[in-house]
Amino acid sequence: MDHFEEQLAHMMRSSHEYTPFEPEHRERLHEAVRLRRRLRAARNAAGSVLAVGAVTLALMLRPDGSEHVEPSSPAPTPTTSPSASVSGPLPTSEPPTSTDTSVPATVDTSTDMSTEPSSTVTSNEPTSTRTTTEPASVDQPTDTATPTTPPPPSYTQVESEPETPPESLLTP
Amino acid sequence: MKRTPGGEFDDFVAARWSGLLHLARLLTGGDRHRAEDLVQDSLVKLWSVWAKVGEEAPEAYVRRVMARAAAKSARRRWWGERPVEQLPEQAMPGDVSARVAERSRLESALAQLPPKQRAAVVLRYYQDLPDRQVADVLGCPVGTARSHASRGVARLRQLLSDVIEPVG
Repeated sequence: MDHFEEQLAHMMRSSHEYTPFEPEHRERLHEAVRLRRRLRAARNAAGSVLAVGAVTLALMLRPDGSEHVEPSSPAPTPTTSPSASVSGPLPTSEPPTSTDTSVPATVDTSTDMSTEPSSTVTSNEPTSTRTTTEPASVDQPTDTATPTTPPPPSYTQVESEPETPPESLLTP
Repeated sequence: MKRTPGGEFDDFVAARWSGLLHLARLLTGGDRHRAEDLVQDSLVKLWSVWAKVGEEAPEAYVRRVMARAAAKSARRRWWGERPVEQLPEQAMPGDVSARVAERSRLESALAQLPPKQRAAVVLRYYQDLPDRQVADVLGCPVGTARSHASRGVARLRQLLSDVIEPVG
């Protein structure tokens, strides 16, 4: 530090004169603190409202997932034989058949809606129109679920359509 | 008896008001009103973090806030008086107004520096901080802080050559 720098530091320090902290300074400072506190509270409130609105909007715009429930609905046709694909409306054009035909293979794992109708029917008519695709594993849960509900009309369509889908359809 | 945080904050402000105001005045180049605003804004920021900073180094925090705010301020302000090369009246030795004249001369010289150079010079020579701490306070590399300080001192050397006489 040379002479000029020493003198500069000295000038800076010697120019300091005591200034008391007066009540007007205190009042002004407290007012600024209160203002900042209010601003911060308002900012927090606005942020909370925006966050809640964003979450609500996201929930409203969320796509409905009901179409994606069916596990075996997409693209079953390429695995079938050409004759089956020519026969037409079987695999994909009729959603109820596809859902219900998947019942025997997926009784244990799929929804309860498919299991209960099958069980009631098997208890009413054990031998008449049942196809060979009804496995024995379906009958086993029937013992537990037989006395409850009458068969819904959707299942009667299944009985009238005994066409069994390809084996590859049964196992998704 | 333990003081409340608000009471401790008030005590700190009352004890350090004069020193902080003088620092702000140097950082702003002698603008008293702007210096008061700078101190107040820094103290309001200190108040919001008093629970964390109050126990440790509140003055260092205020100094950092003030120096950064002063270094960033690029706005030009109305001076009311224009600095000139020659003072219109020279203070006589022993005169009461000598210190006032010296002070105003210093402040007007500081006011001619760019804000970052002025902040670096004040921190280096008034606060007596080493280059590393000056860089830390200003939030820049050490070389940059050193460059600001040396350029500022070189400029002040020109401006204050008649006030501070060279030795030898």
